[in-house]
Amino acid sequence: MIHLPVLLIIIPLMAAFALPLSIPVIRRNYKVIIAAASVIQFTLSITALVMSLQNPVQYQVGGWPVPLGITLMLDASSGFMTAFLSLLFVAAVTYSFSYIGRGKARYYYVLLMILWSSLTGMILTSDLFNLIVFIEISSVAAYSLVAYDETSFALEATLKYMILGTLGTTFIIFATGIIYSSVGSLNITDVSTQLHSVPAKPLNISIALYIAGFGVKTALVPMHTWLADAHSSAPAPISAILSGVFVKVGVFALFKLMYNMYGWSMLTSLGIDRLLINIGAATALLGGIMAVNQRDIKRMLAYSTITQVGLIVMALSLGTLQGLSAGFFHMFNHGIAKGSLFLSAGLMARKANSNEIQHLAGMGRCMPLTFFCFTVGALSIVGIPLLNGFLSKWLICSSLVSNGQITHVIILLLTSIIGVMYYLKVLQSLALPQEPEFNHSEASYKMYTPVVVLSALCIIVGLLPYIPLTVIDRAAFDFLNLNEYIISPIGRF
Amino acid sequence: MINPVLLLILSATTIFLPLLIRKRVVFPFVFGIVFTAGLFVSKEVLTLPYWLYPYGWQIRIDALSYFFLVLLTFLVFMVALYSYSYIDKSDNAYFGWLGVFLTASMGVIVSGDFLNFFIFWELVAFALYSLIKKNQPEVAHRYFIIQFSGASVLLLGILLYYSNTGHLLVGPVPGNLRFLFILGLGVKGAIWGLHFWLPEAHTKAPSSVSCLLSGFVVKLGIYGFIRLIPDYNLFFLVLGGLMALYGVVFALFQHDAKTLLAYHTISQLGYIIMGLGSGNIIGQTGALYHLFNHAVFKGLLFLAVGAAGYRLGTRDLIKMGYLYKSMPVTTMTCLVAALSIAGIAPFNGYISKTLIKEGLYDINLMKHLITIVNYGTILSFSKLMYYGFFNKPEELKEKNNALKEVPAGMTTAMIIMASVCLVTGLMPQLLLNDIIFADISISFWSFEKLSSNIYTLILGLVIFYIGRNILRPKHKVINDIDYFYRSIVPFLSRFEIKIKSIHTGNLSHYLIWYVTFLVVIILSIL
Repeated sequence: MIHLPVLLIIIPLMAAFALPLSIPVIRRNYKVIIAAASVIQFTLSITALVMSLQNPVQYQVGGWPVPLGITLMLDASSGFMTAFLSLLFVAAVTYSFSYIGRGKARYYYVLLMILWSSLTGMILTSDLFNLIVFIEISSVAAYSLVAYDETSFALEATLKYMILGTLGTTFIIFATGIIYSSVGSLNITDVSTQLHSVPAKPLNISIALYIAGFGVKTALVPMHTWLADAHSSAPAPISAILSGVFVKVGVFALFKLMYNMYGWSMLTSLGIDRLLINIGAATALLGGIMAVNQRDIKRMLAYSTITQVGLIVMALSLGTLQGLSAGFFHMFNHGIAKGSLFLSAGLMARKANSNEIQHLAGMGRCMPLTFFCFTVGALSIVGIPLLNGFLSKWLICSSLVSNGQITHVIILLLTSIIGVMYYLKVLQSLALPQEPEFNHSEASYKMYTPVVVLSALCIIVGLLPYIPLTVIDRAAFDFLNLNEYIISPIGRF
Repeated sequence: MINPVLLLILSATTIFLPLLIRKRVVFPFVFGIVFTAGLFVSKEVLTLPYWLYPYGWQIRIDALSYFFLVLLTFLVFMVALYSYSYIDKSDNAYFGWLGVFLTASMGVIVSGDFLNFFIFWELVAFALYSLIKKNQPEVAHRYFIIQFSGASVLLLGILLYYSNTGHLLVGPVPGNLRFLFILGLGVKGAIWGLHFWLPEAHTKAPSSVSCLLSGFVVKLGIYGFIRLIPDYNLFFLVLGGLMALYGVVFALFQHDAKTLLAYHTISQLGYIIMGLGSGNIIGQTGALYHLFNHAVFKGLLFLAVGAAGYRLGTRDLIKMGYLYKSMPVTTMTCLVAALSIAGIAPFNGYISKTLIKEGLYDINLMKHLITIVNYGTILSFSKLMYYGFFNKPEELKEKNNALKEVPAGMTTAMIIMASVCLVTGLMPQLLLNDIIFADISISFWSFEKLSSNIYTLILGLVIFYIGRNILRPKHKVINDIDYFYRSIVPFLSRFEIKIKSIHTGNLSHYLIWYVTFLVVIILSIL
């Protein structure tokens, strides 16, 4: 178990490589490899979470000491993110087994596993260059997965996503270059101890580049323009992953740099916290406005993701423990709710053979269970009480109020009201009396099981928030104090 | 004595009844059991630590909660009885949502902490949304958005209350937060200016749901006022007077029976709020008494009009009439309710209106206002009774005469409610001592009061007879304040379209945005 942090990255990666190699031997049974890797990875992630709650683990890849080797840090925050990531990935993989047709499915799974591995890497790594590598891998995997359906719409979306995403990566590389040239180190903790020696101008430019770069990855206003196209044209499980965790891992990485490399007090003195919270508010509001009156159900869900990411950014940029834990909690809640929404919307859209909301009218009557899951997800995101989304919105609101940000609370409430408007419209349209052309049947249980599990989690977390809250409070605490855990570098190269 | 938790669990079981039992006869009985349990609930304060652990739930049942609890369980019982016949046979889920409504409203009333107060506050709106949704999705949608917005304002108020006081216990709010709480509570309580949703929702919802809306849901707003803003007398006096007058004027000129009743809800809420604002025990007791009465007689009116509509297929006063022979029970119960709301002895409206008048004894303006409003009430209910039930239009005679009385479930509910109107009118001490726990002694039965009461009735009827042609129901759209609110919508949608049109989908535009944004951040930091 000592190698657990690196195993979390390696296992999906190995599965991705093993799959094409083993096809000549096991032919059509390649799903076994994926299933086995998913189960192992999920178990390991849960183990990692449990371990990290007791004691943060610092892992030096290859045994090289701090400034030289790559550090993987498994504290409660990254443990929580890893487990959350694995949960959604397991749901998506299970769903994909029946959802993705046989044709090119092996490429799909290879890319999916690479995505899993690289996102885990982004969460765990404490090394700036390694971070870039993982960002790039995950982005490439995401680009290809968005284009998987090869429709003209998907290809156009991928092209835009790829060009804009590459611009974002470029910003991040520039920023890292600035840091490396002025500090001479890539380890986050190491950099943070030596930042005082860096002149102000390059340092500030690097902050701006990081915000803009990760802003592209996480779709902050005004860099949100790729998201709706990409998320709505991807296959349903990929949309669930992109919306559910992909953007949040970006948020996590951005704030890890902000809190642990630059230090929040320095950012406050530069006014970055005001900037970030305002960007978050703008993102939330704009996503909400864009989601109203969308004709495509997945596009609407994608814009709703932008809104929720805005709220998460608002909570995280408060710089308080309370705000951090509220933000993490909302990440988790939005992840499972949006996962369930995208997956159930995928089932309904497949049956109706269209993503248009008006073509989906009456689907609720044909697929009552799927519709129920969709409803739970929608109500949870809107913030109807006794579901998980309400609790995290309540926590975000109360942490905003205790910081005196009343305007931002009003914006949050406004986005919820807008959310009620468009989500209820869809629910009503889905619940219309049945159209005769659809027969009354659910999808196969293999596909709806993950959906049901995710929606059940929404209800359970809403009613029994104690366990997730304890984990998340610990995660927020570790996130704020990460640097103290890392053994300070002894020698310098 | 029954433990409050047991009562809550009992009412929560009603949510799952339709899943477990197919026989509809059982449902009203279960709601009846909840009512009986509600009567005998023990008044205590206790905490449920494992509810939403680590937050917990403080349950507090005091005299005020008990009063509302009895009212709620009684009304829901009646509605369940009525709905047994009224609601379409295939729609058993309705009773599940009725159970959600019951439990959520109970949650609001018994919550001693703001977190759960708010949770159930919002669930009440959601339950009503689901009850209305089936037949009128658009109306339900609008209702829920408006209520959700109101709840959001309330949430802001609660959060500020928390940061001001450091605790979440339900209690009077500090003066600087009153405004937010009045807005938040007022959307549910339909105070003037925020009442624009009420006529539409009350009119278009199923009659049984209108009964709940008018009978109880708007009273939740009043409950919030009593609990959270107990001493804001002048505001309440002005608001109450305005609402009483406004509602009755608008009610007079409606042609849809349920819209007429809906506007009368605003008017009677005005009475209640005036009573609250009187600042003395008699007026406030009168307000509570009137609140109870209004729930019973206005609920009954909605049920009776719904019953007429059930057979007739319309609630339009132009097309109604000639029902007193074919539907005697409906007509008689409706008459009892109309006499009650007009404040005629010996029905219950007389008692509460007398109390409120006594409470406002030293404010002459208010007394005159009440007199005017009372004549308006008599006029509009003469209109309802005359054109709705007693009028004899020749062209409808054949058709309306052939109608049958409504089924047993509906008549039973209406008869019980009518007898409650009479009993609480004849024996005011019953309600005053055992439910409201007020210790006041006023003689209601002096010759002077009774004779002026009868004089008012006769004068009102004479005025109606003279002016019956002016009041004759006509098809005419009367714009309420929502006309103003609706005019904002085009602006908002223009704004939305503008925002959307910026998103051109053109890659080079987006690249320019991104780089510009980067430059802006850099400049802002440097």
